[in-house]
Amino acid sequence: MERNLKDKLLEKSGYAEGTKEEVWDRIEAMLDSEPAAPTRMGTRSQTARKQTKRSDRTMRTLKITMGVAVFIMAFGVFLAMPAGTAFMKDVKEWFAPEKKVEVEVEGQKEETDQKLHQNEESKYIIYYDQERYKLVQENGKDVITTKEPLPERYPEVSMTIEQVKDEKPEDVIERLSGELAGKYEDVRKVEQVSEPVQGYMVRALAGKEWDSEVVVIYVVDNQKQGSFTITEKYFLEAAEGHGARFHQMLKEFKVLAE
Amino acid sequence: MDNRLIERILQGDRNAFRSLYDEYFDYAMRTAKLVTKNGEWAKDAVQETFLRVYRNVWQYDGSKPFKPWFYCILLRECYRVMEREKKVVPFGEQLEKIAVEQKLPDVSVDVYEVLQTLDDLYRIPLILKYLHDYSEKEIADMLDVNVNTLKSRLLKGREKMKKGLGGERYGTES
Repeated sequence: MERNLKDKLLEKSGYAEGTKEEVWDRIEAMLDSEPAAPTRMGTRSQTARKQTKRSDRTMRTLKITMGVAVFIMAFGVFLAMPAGTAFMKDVKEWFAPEKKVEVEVEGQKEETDQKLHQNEESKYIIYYDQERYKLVQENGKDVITTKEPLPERYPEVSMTIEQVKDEKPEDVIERLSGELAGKYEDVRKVEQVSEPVQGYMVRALAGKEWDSEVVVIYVVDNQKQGSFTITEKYFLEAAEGHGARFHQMLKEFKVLAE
Repeated sequence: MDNRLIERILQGDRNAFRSLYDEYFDYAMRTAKLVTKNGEWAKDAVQETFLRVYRNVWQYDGSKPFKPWFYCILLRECYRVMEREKKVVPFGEQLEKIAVEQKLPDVSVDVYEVLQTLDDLYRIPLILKYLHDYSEKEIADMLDVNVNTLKSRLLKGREKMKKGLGGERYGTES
C-alpha cells in the first residue's frame, strides 16, 4: 500500500513538459520589471544591473528630478530667510518639509508623501511616510509607528530612534546584540553596513511563522563620541511591506553637525 | 544547498538563482500541485515562492539547512494562493468531511483520493513522506515541529487513511 501511495503521488503530481520554463519566464519577467529590491540591501551585481537597465534608467531620472525639486524648494526657503540668519542656525530650513519618494513594496512601485522630522535636541533628521505612519516622541525617543493601531493578533510594528550619548557604536551594538540573544531564538551576526545607514546592524527572528517577530537594530555614530540606535520591529510576513518601508525611510536618516 | 550559491544570489547573480531553480523546481512543483490540488495554482505558488526566495534570501541563515526554510515559504505560498482562490475549506468542515466520508470496505477506493480528504495536519506530512521519501527528522524540521509530534501525526494520518480505505491496514507504524 505504501508503494501504491507513492506511485499515486508521483502520478498525480506530474506536470506538463514546458511548465518549468513557463514558470521561469514568468519569474524573470517579474524580476526584470523591478529595480533592485530594497530588502536585498543594495547588493546586486553588474549582471543584475544589466538585466534591470531600463528600470534603473527610470529610477535615475526620478532621482535626478527629485533631487532638483528638493534643491529648488530648499533654495526658495533660503531666499525667504530673514537677512542675517546664520547659515547653520536653523538647519531645518535646508531640508524640504515634505517630499515625494518612490518606494517599492512587494514588487510594486508606489509614490509616498514623506514628511520631515527634525529632532532639535539629538540633531538628526528623517523623512517618514506620513500617509501610513505617525511619529510619536516618548521618553526621549522618536517612535515611528502605524497611524492606525494594528489588530491585537499582529506583533508590534515600529521604528524607534534613540540617542545613546557617550557610548561608541561598536560597544552599543555588542550590548544590544547580547540583549537580543536572551530574548530571541535566532539572532544573526553583527554586520557592518553602508545601507540604509552607515553603521552596524544586527537582526533577530522569533521564529518562522508568518507572525514571528523580527527585530532589526542599526547603530550609527552620532559624531560626538556617542551613537544613535534605530530599532525596527515588525513580523515575518511584513518584511516586504513595513520592513521595506522602514528601510526606505532610513535612507533619509541624517545626523546633523552642531 | 551550497552557501556559495546563496552568497552569489545575494549579490544578484541570476545564473546562481537559475541553478537553485533547477535544483528545487521539481520538488516545489510536485509538492505545490499535491497541496493545492490544482496545476495552475501550483504554478502561481511556485512562481511566488522563488520570487520570495530571491528577494528575501538575506533572511536565510546559512548555518541551518536550506530545505526547511524553502519549504516554509512554499507552503505559505500554497495557502496564500488557495486562500486567494477561496478554495480553502475551513478546518472544522474538513474534519466533518472526513467523518462523513468514511466508507465501507471497497476495493475501488483510491488511496490518493483518501489522502486528499485528510486534514492538512495529516495530509502534508504524508505527502512529504511518500512523495519525497524525507525522513521524519527532515519533515519535522520543515514543518517546524517536534519529531514526536510529527510521528504522532503520521500515525494518526495512517489510521485515518485506513478508515478511509474501509478498514484496510495501511502502511507500517513508525
